[in-house]
Amino acid sequence: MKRTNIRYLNSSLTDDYDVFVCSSSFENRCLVAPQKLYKKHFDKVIIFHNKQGSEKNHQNAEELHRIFGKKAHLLALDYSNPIEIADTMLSEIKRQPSRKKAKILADITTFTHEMLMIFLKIVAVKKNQVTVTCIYTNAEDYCPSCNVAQKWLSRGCEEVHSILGYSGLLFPSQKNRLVIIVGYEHNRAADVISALEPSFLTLVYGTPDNATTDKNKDANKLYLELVKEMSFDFPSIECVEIPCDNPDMTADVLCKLYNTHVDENIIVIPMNNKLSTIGVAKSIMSMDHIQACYAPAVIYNESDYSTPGSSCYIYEL
Amino acid sequence: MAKSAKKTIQSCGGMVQYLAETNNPTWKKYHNDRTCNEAYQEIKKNLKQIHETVISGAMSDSIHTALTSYKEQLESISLEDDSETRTRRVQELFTSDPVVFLNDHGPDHIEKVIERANAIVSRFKNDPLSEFEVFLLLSAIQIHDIGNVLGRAGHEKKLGEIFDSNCCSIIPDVPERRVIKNIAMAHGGKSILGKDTISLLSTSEHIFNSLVRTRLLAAILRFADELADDSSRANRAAINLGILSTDSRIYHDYSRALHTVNLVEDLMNNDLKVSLVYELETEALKDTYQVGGCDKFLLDEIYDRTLKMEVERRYCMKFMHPYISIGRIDVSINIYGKTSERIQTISYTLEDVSYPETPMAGQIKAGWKIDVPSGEELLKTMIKRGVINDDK
Amino acid sequence: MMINENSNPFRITTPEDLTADETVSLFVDVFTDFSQIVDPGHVILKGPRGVGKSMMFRYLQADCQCLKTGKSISDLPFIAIYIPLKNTNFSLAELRRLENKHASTVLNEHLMVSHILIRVLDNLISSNGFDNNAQYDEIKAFYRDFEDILGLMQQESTADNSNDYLRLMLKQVKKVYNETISYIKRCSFSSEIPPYTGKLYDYIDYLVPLLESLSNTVSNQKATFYLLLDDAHFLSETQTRILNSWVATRTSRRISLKISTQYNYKTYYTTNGATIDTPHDYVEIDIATVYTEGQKTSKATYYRRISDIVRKRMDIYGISTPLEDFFPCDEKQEQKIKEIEKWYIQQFDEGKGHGSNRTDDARRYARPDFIKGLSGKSKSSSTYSYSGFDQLVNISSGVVRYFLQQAHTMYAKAQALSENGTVEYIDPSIQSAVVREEANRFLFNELEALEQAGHDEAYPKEDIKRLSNLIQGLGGLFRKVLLSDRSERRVFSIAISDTPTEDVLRILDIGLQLGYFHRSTIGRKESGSIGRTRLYVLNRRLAPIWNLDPNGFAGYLFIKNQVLKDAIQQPFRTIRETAVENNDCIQLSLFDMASPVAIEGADENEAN
Repeated sequence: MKRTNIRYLNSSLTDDYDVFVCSSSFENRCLVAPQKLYKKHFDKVIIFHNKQGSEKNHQNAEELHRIFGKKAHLLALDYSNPIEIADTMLSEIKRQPSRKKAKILADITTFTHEMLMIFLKIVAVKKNQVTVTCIYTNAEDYCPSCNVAQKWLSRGCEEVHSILGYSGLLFPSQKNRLVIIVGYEHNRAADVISALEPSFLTLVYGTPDNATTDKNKDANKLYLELVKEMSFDFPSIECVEIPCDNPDMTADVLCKLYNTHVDENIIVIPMNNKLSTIGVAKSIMSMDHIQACYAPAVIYNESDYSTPGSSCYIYEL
Repeated sequence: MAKSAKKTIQSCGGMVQYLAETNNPTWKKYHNDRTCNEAYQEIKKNLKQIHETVISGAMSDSIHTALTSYKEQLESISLEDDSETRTRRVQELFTSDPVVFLNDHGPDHIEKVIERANAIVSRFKNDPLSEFEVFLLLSAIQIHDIGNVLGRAGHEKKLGEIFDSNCCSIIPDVPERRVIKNIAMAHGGKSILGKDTISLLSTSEHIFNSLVRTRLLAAILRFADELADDSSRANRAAINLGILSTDSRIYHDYSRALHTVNLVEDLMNNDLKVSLVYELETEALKDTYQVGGCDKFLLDEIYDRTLKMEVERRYCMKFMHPYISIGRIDVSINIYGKTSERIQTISYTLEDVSYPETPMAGQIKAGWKIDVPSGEELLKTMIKRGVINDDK
Repeated sequence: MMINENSNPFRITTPEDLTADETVSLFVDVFTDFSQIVDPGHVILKGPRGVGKSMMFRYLQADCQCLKTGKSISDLPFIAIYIPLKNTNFSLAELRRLENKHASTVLNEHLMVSHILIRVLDNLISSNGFDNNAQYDEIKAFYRDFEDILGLMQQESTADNSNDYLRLMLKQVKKVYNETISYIKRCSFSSEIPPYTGKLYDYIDYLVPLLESLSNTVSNQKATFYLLLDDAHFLSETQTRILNSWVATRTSRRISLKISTQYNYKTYYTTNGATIDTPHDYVEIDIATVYTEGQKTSKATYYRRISDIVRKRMDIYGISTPLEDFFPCDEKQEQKIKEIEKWYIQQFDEGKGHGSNRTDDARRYARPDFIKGLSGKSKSSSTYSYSGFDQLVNISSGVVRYFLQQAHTMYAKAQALSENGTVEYIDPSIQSAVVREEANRFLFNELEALEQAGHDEAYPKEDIKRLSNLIQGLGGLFRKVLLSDRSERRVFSIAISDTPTEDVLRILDIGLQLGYFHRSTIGRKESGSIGRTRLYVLNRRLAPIWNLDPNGFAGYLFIKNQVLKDAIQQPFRTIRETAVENNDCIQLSLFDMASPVAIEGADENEAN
């Protein structure tokens, strides 16, 4: 894992790539890395774009297309359809010339958690055909117009489903433990817990020193709020710390956690930053019985979601 | 539904030929490297021996059942104190012939059912069967009676076991085999809905991206099987030798009497009709059969069987609509004298009445208000006319 | 690090996680209200979250029934197996790949049947009914049947006791389940669907005969198996159709399906295109309606139930204080209301009363007059106290969970203020504050959040806005009625007097789904009309928003569709412009609807 100032992104990338992949979003963070990157680094650009996204989302997609010009290929997907996401990614990989491993640079900043998990699984399945470098642009702050106690990024939870490729193996005769990687979206996390009503709950939270936001590194406060709200239903809640900026260590911590609950069905829901989501994916790759789930939000705080930060993380898969 | 194809079942001369000529390689990945045609031919080959033993299988089963029953009853008889009672009961044991002698359920019957099914499917007005549907239907026809090997009772359900053990290497996909079994099993017997076995099936299912109209296929098989009960099914040798059990004889004599079955255009009504032609000799009018403890004339059996066919027509049409319209059954019963001159013809038509006043069951005269003589009435008339000798 | 919170008597635990002892000690028998749940036969039990569906199911389970009745499992009249459907195994993303592609229905059914089989065996093992080697020979014989019916390889068993046989069976079914999940996983990233070569179980040919055989084995009475399928609204449409197909079969004497769901049950169609109908195929019970339907006993029944539930919980925690004393009302407020009541009784004695008996007017008008008095003089309506056990029960609107949730928060606050951590009673100010906070959260936080930005698969943003307007409009109207001189001032519900339009019904239905209304029916009493019409009852949890009186007798308003349309567009103008006339009307109970009280005309009247 490498961390650099966004100004030095290009010099931190040592290779040329065959393909650059990114996702448009209502967040302006989706433009940060693309605006900085030297176009000469790659031959082709794939921009994933949510067909059902908001006006802001469409605008950013067009901007991305403009940035990359003729190299860019805008792929409109239904982000709520994991099958479509997976099939599209697979077919793009198939298109790459088979004579050598395709080198992919992926800006995962504004992938949804589900999209990112699917992407990582496909990369693992196709590891003989691709190598992938991920870049992640941090946020200076989330919900910048609100004070810490009032911050919200998304709300509501209509349904919870397993993520494609991470169905796990949950036996009906075993009790369920829900492991949530908590972040700023504590409202939605509370909704998810309420929806699933697991027998046991583990809340995984990031340590302040490893927070990727430039401001409010003490998101623990929000985490505590969640705990208070949830203690209503749970007699005891297990709390575990992870370094949110280090996927490998996150994966190690999670694997140890899973091994302490071998007689339970474990369901993991990543709701922190995308680096920790990489850690979640890595932890499950070798533990096929763990299920990862996703709960699409009902609404996003689009107008006040985040402000882009100055750091960029580079991670080789 | 079938893609628009140049080949049709009709132009190919039947479903088997259609499969052979279509031979789409797409299906190889689902049938262990066999096209639908190759898979079907292999299923047919694997089941051939079983088909050939269906009749003997049912017979063996009935003999085994009878022997078990005799043993139990003899044990009970041996406990009787009174010797006269013992003797009487032993005699009663052998008053009936328990051996089941099925009419043809073997390869010839299978071919007949296919022939009848061809007549139906080649006349579809729209949305003809796809290649995969043809394959499923033909496979279902191949297996629909093989459960009889293990005995007539519950044979529909037993067929699943034989099919799985003989064909799982050809059709490894369990849901696909399940579809074939369900289509086959719906041809008779009872379900939790009683005789309405087809309604239990889903209207359609997807198998390997292909839409399968399960109820339609089940209805085609069921009605084709009903239409396949003609004279080719009768065991003439057994009839002539007189070795048929009393319970079995009526089925064979009925089959022998049914001379032709055709599905023909009904220009008047702009649809199709089934045409049944029976041929009876006057001597046959005298024969009675023990059915349900009562004496029954063959003519009455013919009436009942045509009624049953009409019921099946109405039932199966529910599921074959809108692809085909078979509106009625025309019945002609030709009665011939000893010198092959035709003495009398009884004819009637069975169809949906405009206002259903009476239930479907019951005798033809009482339930359907069709004026035809019963077996006994006709016999009396024939005797009176001197066409038949009264030797009773 | 573990955080513990188990000293609050009003903690809500998922019933599935309660032990048999805990369940039996906490449970209040409600089956006299819902006798069809206990009798053989298929049932669909509807109700919002928190009315007690899961708790009923937990109580019916064999371990609880054995404990309660003192009987062994073999002597129970029914054997109930709890099967929670709130399980992400039913929402595997891979199953979507099979939809309209390959064998989706049969594979989903197989998953459901396998899931149930695992739960059955697990329940039997954990019921402890087969300890001490009970029915060893029978279980051993059943084991052969089990292998035969499920088409499993005949194995030489090494089980020495009944439980070991059950564990062996459980292991075999888990293996089948595992194989199915493995197949489904292989479909994740492959556009080519591989053939499925595993077992394929369905309800009719596998589950029914197996459970029949099991019943013959373990039960001296050939007991019916009750499959308690909880939260069936979580199933996908395909799975719901499969479940409906099971309901449509004639197996209820051998296997009875007891299905609980919220109001968003996906469909009533079966897999073969038929529908399931009540009462032909199943009995439908709407719990919320049972406790709020127009029967005089309904209110008393719910009050009794909640009293019993709260009493039990407090007893377990060693709190013997009477409920009315533990949740005391605001004495000063009640005193003032009593004075007003006395005045009305005096008026009646002087021949100036309106009601048919001495206390009618007192009961009807005293509290509304008090509330009106608060708003008229000092504009301090917010000082009305929502405290006292009776008020809290009424505010809970027939949903046990609402009461317990608020009580939990109240207790926690009281505990935090207490020096030694013990709580003798909950101060009225705490009660009222929590009730008001909850009302605000329920309406403003939740609805406002939904209103802000819509998601295409959620309710459209515009409809959420309309619903918000409608609720504000109706709440304001009820407030206006409360402050008027009408003969009936407690109003909490509306019925549409003419034909409702689709747009209005849609908004009302969204309100129903989100819990802001519940629906009932009332007789249509317009002259010449017969039949019933729908009644929409505002959730009493919202009473504090407009300082409404949630207690006792309440009427409904017959309201024209146009008024609702206007409220949806411009709620405050509708409140201002809609007149409230003083019509005499029959006194109505909370759950007893009689004469309609219509809103007419356009006389101006001051809104609050």
